[in-house]
Amino acid sequence: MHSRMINAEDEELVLQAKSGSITAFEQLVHKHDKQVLAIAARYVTSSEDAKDIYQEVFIRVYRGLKHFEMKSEFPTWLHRITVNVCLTHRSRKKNFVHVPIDGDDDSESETHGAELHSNDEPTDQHSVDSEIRGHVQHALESLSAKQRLVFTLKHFDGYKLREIADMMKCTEGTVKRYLFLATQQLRKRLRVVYD
Amino acid sequence: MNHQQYREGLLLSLYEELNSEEKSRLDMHLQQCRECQIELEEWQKLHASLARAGSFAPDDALLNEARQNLRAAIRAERTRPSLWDRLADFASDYVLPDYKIALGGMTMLAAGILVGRMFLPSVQETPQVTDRHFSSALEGEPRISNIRFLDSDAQDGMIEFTFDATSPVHVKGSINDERVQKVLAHALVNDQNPGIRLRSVNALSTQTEHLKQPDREVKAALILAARTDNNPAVRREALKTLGSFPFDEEIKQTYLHVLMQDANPAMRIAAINALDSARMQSPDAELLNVLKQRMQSDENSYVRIRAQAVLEEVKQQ
Ligand SMILES: [Zn+2]
Repeated sequence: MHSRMINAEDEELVLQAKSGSITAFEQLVHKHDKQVLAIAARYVTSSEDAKDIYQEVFIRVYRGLKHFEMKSEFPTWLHRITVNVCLTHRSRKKNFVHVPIDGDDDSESETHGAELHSNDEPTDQHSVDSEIRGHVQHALESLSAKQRLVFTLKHFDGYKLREIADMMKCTEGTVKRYLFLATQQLRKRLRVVYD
Repeated sequence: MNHQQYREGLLLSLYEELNSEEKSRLDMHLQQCRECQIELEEWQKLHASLARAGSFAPDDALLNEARQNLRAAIRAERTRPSLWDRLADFASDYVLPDYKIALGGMTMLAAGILVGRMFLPSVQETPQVTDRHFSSALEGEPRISNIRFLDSDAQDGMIEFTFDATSPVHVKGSINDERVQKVLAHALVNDQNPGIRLRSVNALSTQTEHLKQPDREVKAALILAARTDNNPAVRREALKTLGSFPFDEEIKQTYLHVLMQDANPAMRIAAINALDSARMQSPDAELLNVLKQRMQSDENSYVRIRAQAVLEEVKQQ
């Protein structure tokens, strides 16, 4: 799913985009943007927020490209930007209170949103149990930003812990800790669903 | 490994994060530890409920919207730094510290080139493409650029233009042709030149008068232009053209957005009029709030009067 091979095509497109080719930039975007949107759409629950994150990521890419020296692969760089944008994103929803970015602690991970999953269309609509979906969304919202991001990257997007650690620039041990805290919290919250 | 480490290993094994050695040690422990068996069942139940909630994957429509918005944002981004900034950027890479003196002349020259390109579009001597070539030029995700109109008056249903895809393309075609619309929608969202964007939206507006099935891409381009184009004439024409589409939530949100956000009073009036003629079945609280807000505090007196009139009208329904 996530190729880590040296990609000559990316390299060529990056070079062209750096020299001002908007066509190359767009090709680069279209090659990698599905993953970015998927990460965003799973991390936030509203499609408006997902689009905001998507846009912010690629604007940062656009601005940062001239300083990008290809010491890391383009997808790695892109994923790091995506993770940063997610963690600093502030939802458009008024009632949604994000916990502090460094709030790894379970005790401070409550949000106070009463209408967290009321208005937004689900982003995929195939035979999904909408009641459970609501519970899951609500449970996800109760996690701290980092816990939620680690959990969605692992559980839904299928990244390896090693890859997530690389994106978040932390150790694999730290990622594991977030994953445990997140899943334990979800278990607690979702017990109503499966008991 | 102690019992606690095995407990953590259970979750990691579900996510396939254990190597084969760790996995077999865990399996052996599991056979003799009732507590860990129960724990594993708990994790499996959690995974099963999560699976029932779906994959939360974004659909193609969301991707397309995100891409359209990004195009507009990048266009704004490209025009954002002044010519001077860009030249200074260039100069700082290539020219010695006293480059600023040299830059004066360069700025003039570059401005001359820009003006030339804006007012003297080079009409290419490209022969018209055949129907099949037109289709193949638009296959996949073409990079349409450099659109130039030879005839944009669509009253007779035909327009003529050239553009670059993988190679230069020259088309004379019906405004009802989906492919023509695709190129126009693209130009409306992407072209740097406001004159081209205006001619695109004008051509599209003629087309929508005899529209069978509103095209999603055209509609998305019009909505984006009405909301974000920095040229008021383009915004107004886009807003007007949306009026001939079946009224829906997206279009309503666009009108409300314009009414609340557009700095140009003529645009706000156009939005009120559009809402008025949309004849909504059941005006919702959001609409009433916006109208009330405009009635009380819009800086333009005509907007205030129109908002009040429409508000009273919808309340009576
Ligand atoms: Zn055990």
